[in-house]
Amino acid sequence: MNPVFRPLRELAQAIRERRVSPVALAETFLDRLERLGPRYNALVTLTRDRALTEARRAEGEIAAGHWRGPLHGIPYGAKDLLATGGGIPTTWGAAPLRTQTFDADATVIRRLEAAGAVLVAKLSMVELAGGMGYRQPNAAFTGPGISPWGGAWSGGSSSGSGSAVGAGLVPFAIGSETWGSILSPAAYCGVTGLRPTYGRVSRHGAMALCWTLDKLGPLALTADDCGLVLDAIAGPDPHDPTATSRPYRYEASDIVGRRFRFGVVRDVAEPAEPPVRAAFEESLNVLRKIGTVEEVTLADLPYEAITRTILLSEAASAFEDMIESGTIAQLSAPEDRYQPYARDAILAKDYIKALRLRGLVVREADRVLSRVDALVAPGRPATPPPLDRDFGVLHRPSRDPMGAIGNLAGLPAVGVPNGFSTDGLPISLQFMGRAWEENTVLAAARAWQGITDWHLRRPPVD
Amino acid sequence: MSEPTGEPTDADLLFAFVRRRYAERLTAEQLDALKRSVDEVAGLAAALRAIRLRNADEPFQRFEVFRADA
Repeated sequence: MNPVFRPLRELAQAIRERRVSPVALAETFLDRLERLGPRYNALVTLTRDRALTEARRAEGEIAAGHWRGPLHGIPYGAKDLLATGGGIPTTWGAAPLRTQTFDADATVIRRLEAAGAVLVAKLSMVELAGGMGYRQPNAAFTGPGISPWGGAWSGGSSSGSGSAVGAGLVPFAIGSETWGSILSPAAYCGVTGLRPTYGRVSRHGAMALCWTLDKLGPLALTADDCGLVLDAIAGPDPHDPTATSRPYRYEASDIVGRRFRFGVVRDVAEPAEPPVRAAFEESLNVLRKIGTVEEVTLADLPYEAITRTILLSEAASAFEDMIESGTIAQLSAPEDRYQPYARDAILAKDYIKALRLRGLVVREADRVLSRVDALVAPGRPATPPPLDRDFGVLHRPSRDPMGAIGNLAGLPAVGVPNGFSTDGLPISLQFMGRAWEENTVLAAARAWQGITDWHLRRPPVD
Repeated sequence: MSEPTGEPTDADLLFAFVRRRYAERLTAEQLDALKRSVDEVAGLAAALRAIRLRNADEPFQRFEVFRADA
């Protein structure tokens, strides 16, 4: 059995039945990471010793009849903002932090270890998760993230997590999202990404970019894979006061003939590029096979300005030392070396105003979402840009209102593949749900992937 | 069309503050770009200030009291 590009359940079954050895599996993906990772600038650190230790342990436990569950013996990669002990560097993608280490693993890493998963790599990311305002793809000391589809940008900031899954270098990866950092690389690398509800997954041991927006979640080949990973990493954590005590169990069983209610925010695809708009319009026809599609309207609020004010303010505080000391001059993206200074111009009253307006937004989003199972929209408004593309002015009006609302309100969303442009670049679709409704959006995404095959397409990697 | 008054805008004054703090670290080109970033920050503030809120609209961020022995 070739284990590359296999969904997690297939790998898990093969491991449990001892048709596939966790050690051989780890070696396969370590080899692929070492051989192909540099092609996509996906790899920061190969964790070979740790991986083989964990894989041997998994192999011994399974041989002894102790199977921990569907992630037991499965290799994965972690965005390099998740702390790992044992002397493994955690660089946050930033040149001045290349040698940074921590004494202990992040909670997510510990939970995956407890589930028997095998950490094979720390994966590249946009420096400081993009918090300094990068405006072009070359914004990490590992170079620009490259999508396995067409050599375009991988998206960010979880760039290595997206490209490593998309190129079959790991079966799944962990990323983080403050605003777009899971859904963007999922879209541009042609994979599935889950942004959980804010507070669903402990952030203890993860780099803080923006305390009230940061979330951790999986990128994988399918929505089902993402659910399996979320099941392992969700839950309360005394080290993270924002981690909810609400229990979470992934509900993988589909109700036969279930009909979904999908909402589409009026004109949501209007800012998208023509191929994305066309794919989205077509996807609505497909979605009508599994549910209803109705137009919804949202109150006219400055969603992007609210989210951006909070993000810029909190990031300026989170990285105050690097900014004030001038250490940012050592960052890779030229614009990251000076743009953060502009945040001194944000007044406290405007940050507080953004937090007050956030109350209106969360209620408005919940009002709309309480009447549907999910809002659907393009995962990204564009196909992956070329590596030399300037994104434009940092603070220009955003073309991502769904991302602004979803992250501001901390709502779960799944991004799934939804076709290709005529030049072979991936296009995505997102399902965004009410708070704590990961199982609903995952069910919708599974249903989508049950009637489409975009998630089964593979880039020419080998 | 009104004639320019020469009065500095809020963004000009905010940039003067930022420049005073960091100019010695930056090139003229970086300062020009930084000015545009400050203008954009001022634009964000203007968008927020255009929305009126009630006195009772609190920040959506709960404060909790703390006792180590609780």
